[in-house]
Amino acid sequence: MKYFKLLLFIALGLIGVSFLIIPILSILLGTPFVDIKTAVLSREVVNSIILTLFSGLISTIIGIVIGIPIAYLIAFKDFRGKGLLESIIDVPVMIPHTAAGIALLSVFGSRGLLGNMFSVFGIKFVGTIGGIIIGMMFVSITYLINASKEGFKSIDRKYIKASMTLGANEFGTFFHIILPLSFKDIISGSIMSWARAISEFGAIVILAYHPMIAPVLIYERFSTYGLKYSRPVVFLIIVISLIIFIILRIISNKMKNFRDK
Amino acid sequence: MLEINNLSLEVGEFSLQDINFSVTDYTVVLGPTGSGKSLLVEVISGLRKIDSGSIILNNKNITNFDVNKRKIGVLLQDGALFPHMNVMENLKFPLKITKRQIDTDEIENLADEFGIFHLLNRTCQNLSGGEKQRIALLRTMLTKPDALLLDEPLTAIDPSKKYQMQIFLKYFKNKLNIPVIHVTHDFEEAYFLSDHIVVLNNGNVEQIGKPKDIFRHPKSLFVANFVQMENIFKVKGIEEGQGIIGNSKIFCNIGKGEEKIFVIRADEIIIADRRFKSSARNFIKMNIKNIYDKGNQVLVEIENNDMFLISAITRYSLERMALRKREEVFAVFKVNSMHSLL
Repeated sequence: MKYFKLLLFIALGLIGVSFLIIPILSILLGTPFVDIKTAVLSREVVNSIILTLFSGLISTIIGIVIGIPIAYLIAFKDFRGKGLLESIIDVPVMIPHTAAGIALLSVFGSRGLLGNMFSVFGIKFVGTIGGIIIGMMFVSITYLINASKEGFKSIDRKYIKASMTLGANEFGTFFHIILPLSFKDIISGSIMSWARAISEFGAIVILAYHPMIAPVLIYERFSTYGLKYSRPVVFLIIVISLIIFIILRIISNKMKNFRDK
Repeated sequence: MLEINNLSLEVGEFSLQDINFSVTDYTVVLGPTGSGKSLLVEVISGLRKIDSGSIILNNKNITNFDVNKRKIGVLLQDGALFPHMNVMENLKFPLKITKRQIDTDEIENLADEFGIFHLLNRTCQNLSGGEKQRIALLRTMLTKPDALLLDEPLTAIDPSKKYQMQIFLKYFKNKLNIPVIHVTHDFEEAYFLSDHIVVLNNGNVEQIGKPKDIFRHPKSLFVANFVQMENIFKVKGIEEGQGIIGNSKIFCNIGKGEEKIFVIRADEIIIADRRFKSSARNFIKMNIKNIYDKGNQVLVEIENNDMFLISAITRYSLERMALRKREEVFAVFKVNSMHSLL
């Protein structure tokens, strides 16, 4: 009976893992080398992948700059509407991303409140890298804020008290104690945020179809030319993303988690 | 001098109520868990705002000063060394953060004096409790504070190393000329280290005094119990200077008709095998119930129908008198050794 339960768990686990791995393997093993070579040599494909990775990076960096202060406020301060703020931060994860795209278009479009304002400075979002970054940031910043918030919350308050009694003000304590002690969580959140950003399609296809990021290019090739033409781009984006994520995970796992000591 | 005047604070259902005391020397705030000791450290250090009252340091009202502007050094329970910095970086932190000049030679000399020189390049993870506290204490002293708060500094230290750290604190205290508040629940620690003791109970100051006074003359039943007063008994006055416990007469400072609770330390009760001429007025016939050898002293439990007492004698006396269980003896003590509670 004991072994039956164990075997059942292993069988169900294998089904789950197969469900995740088989589609990826089918792309990795089933894409002809000639098609991959053609895709690698295609300026359109290479540009779209670079654009995707770069926009994801910029969106994550901006996310860090504006997300960490929000995470700090939620973790350390008590104020009215804190629960509401936390719910608002979770909204992008809950709504369909095409809906997010429409919402962003109505705000950052040329007639939208912010789009109109930024157009005064010559900044446009529809059909630009700016639009891609805005779309990516909207759907990914939640991961960064939540991971940073949890990191901040898990810091033992004695270190913060010690820092302040040793003469540090709130800013000094933040930069010298809180940030280093939660660095690993912030990096994990950033990796998740970047991963979510580069995989975004729904919001960006509405806000900035062009210039084409990889997910949009894959969709366009699939809808115009069929499966055969979209597969090499999928192959490349999967391989590149896997390599980058494995490297980032190795680096992040090697970082010391001081709170565990 | 650090003065705490009419300090009050409510936190949920707990409150510090009208706390008043001043500190010029090494003062230990003594109280059980939940008495408000750590809260008191937080408000004096500025980590928490008070509802009313004032905190005066060297004639300056620092009640509304931010934590980092108070010039009060705080040593937290386990030292709270920053885990992402090594020992030297921890020591340099207060200087770096306040943009003061870092004199590495001075730090090294002080580290030598604190017995932590060999640890300067170590990470903080595998240090012992005592090492962490010495480093944290030096880190605090490098802020050049005008007063020092030590929040249960010996709690996180291995019992076998506690004594060494107590000796170190005693040595350290003699070199200081700033007021120190040391918070603990351990009476022996308080007795050993303090110049004065403030006993805290449920957010109130129960008694302030020199360690000997608190030990010998507790003012309340709470303090008597907390300092492990061995003998506490209620006496009813039958005439001026004489009372009874059950049917046993006892000489004590009591008026006719009064009822008082008296305490007396075990080492102030002599055990005698017969009556003898003495300046002590109380000779009470009792029987030995139990004898406990505690190593440095022997506790003898004696009782009669009316009362139960504990006397502390030396092992030499025990052997010389050949005391045995159930043996009839006299408990002998002076009127002045008995102290009544308020």
